[in-house]
Amino acid sequence: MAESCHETEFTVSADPKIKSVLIAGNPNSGKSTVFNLLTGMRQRIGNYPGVTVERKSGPLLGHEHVEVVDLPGSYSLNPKSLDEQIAYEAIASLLPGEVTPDVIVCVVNATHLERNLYLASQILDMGLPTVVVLNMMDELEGEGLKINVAQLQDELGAPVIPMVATRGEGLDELRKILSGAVPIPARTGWNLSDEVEAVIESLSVKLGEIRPDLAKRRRRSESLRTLNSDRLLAKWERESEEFVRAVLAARGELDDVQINYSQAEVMGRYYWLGKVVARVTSKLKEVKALTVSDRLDAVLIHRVFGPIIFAAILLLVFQSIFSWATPAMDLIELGMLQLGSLVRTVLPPGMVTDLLVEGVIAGVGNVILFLPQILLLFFFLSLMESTGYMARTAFIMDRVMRRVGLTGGSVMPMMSGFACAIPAIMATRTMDSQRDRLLTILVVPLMSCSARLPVYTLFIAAFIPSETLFGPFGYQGVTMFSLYIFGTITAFVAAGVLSRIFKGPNSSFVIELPPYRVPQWKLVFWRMYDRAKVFMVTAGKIIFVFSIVIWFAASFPRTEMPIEAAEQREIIESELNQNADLSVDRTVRLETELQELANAEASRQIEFSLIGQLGKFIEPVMRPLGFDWKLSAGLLSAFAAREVIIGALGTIYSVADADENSLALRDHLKNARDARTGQLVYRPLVALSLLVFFVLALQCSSTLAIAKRELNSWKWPTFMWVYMTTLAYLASLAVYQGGSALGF
Amino acid sequence: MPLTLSEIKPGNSCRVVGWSSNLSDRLLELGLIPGSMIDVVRKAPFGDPVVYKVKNCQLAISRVEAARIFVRVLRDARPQSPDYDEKD
Repeated sequence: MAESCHETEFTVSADPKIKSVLIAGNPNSGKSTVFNLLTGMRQRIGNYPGVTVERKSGPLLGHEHVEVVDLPGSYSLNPKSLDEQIAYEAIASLLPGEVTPDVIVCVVNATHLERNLYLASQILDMGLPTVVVLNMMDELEGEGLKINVAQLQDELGAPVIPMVATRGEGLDELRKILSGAVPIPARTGWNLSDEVEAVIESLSVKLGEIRPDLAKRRRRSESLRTLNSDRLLAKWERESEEFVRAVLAARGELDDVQINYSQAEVMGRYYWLGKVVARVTSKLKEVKALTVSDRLDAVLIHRVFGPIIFAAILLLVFQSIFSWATPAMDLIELGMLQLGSLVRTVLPPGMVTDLLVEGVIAGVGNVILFLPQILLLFFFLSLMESTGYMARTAFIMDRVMRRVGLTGGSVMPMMSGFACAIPAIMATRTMDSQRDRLLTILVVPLMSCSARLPVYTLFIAAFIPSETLFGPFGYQGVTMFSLYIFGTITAFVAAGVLSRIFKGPNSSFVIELPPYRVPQWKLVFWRMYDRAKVFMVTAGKIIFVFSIVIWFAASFPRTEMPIEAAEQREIIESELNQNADLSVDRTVRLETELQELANAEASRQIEFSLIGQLGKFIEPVMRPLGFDWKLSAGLLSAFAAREVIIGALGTIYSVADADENSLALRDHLKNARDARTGQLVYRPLVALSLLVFFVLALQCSSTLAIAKRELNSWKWPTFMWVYMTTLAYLASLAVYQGGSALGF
Repeated sequence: MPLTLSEIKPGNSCRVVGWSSNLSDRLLELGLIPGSMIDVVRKAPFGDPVVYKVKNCQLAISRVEAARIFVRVLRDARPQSPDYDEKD
């Protein structure tokens, strides 16, 4: 039946008024570039209901009522991961709340024609109007090959549009076909073996009884999918036990006669596709065996140079985050300072002004301060993804990751953990083993995220000398690097220990190494902007609320001045006000005394306040780590979100210090002295202890929330919080007590 | 006794002749089916996984997984290393 099924005439779909276009395709097929072309980069990022798979959509340029959805990249419609399952369910309209797709655009990498057509042929079999985009035609030419597009169109029974999406070539043709009626594809020409075909036939009939609304082709492809995939079978368990029983019986039947049904589809499709590809492809010229990409790989994933280059790239990234961001940070700091004084000159003195300047501006300002660094980190991560280097990191590190019970697949989520644990935890969805996924999620928060960066920066700037160590590297940069390495090593050790506890099979490691590409700068910057925005909005909201809460906690309950102090102030004030002819010396002395009284009052206030009392309450526990009640209070507030400690300490110090306009918290910390002994409060050892605590502790309510959502239980987030906090406490204890014993 | 894919040294080419039953379906779907030609490209810096070129795509596959794929070495492919000559 194979050859006879080819219809060169397409059946025309009835309704030209489409509402939704789904873009499907293999990873690295240029799917997102096609999406950006069609929507003009106006993407909305959300989630599919109930799961945390990212849903990227946007309006079709020129047809604003049409929604274009960029599906997660997948290799097959037999899902092996949550991402792939969502992609399949979206195409099969099995997702609640999602509209039935009107048109599927299947993006195919022309240089990987046979492999990519595997998915394309599965999609064509769904019987929905489909356009096949043959992308990366320029690279194909570079390989000295040519594809006969007209013939491929005949073989597939669906329209094929050749494109070079990175240069926008072929976009007009694609838009033209989308604005008209996209035909329903002809039946593809591959065959199952007779035995499997018979089973699929009877399952389709069964499915027709249960779901008469499904078209015949859909019933057939759904039967085939469910026969092959346990993930889909599990889904059917909720819908129809009858169908599940039929599928299980069919599997048993085929097992009995030793027919490997899961391989029948693969063999059938590739047998057909092999012939199709041979017919449509022709060689234009011989090209050199080694491509540019091969030559790059010879160095970048070289046995010796590979790991060294990887480490050097990481070091360079963190060093530049530290040094390049400084001018921008100074500018922001200055701006915040001036905004604070502006508010003070415009608004009358009082509670509200205090709240604005000391709570809101100081709190939020101290976080915006680190926007340059966050942008830089996201820039480098996007750049690595865009060039194809990110996949190489997984390849280089796989062996090492396996030693601690993870796989190369964990490298990317863990690298993303350097930016933020939240997207990193979300990135584990592409992992196919649930055990590996759980392990990765549990250790990802140990990677130093950008929310720790403000804390690291602040304490390093305050306590680590800025001298040069060697070459472009200074003590500060190296300390920063060490903190990142410390967190990373701890994550690995934790994974090693945890993997012994959760025994289970490792997932198989297959990773595609796409050819290196010149980065698409537009995409890199867009991604950087987008991620930084999401981070700032999420973090910003929390910080805004907490800054206000902490300001209140630091300002209330109010305390009265001791009577003697109040009397003394009155005496000084009256002398200042009534004697117009005071000597300059006397005036200065009186004002200094007044200032000292104000400082004493503010210190009393913060000590008496809610946060002071809480800080004092836990101080006995934190003392062995070298933290006084102020730091303890800051730490308490940071358990909601790490960077809050900056705002909190800022609030505590700007309330306690008379110099309200100063946002230079680092100077406050550096110069803070014990009221009684006059000694510096924060020795470098205390700073180190605090830094170690921040490297290890899980102080981020958003991470807990996302982990709960991904793992669907509070059990693991709770476990995560307890083990990380315990680890942090013990490590800080060791640092402070050890350091003290050594005389630091 | 055919060789397994994990035994082939980088620089050689081979053809898939079969697989053991516990091979992941995904590898089949990625094109490692009987008859497919595979170029062994390069070992990872720490020895595992190995990069293979299958249907013009570079795939890194772990040794454990590669040991489940049976292959026949193509003698006419590229200069061969002497260590498998006798076995084939």
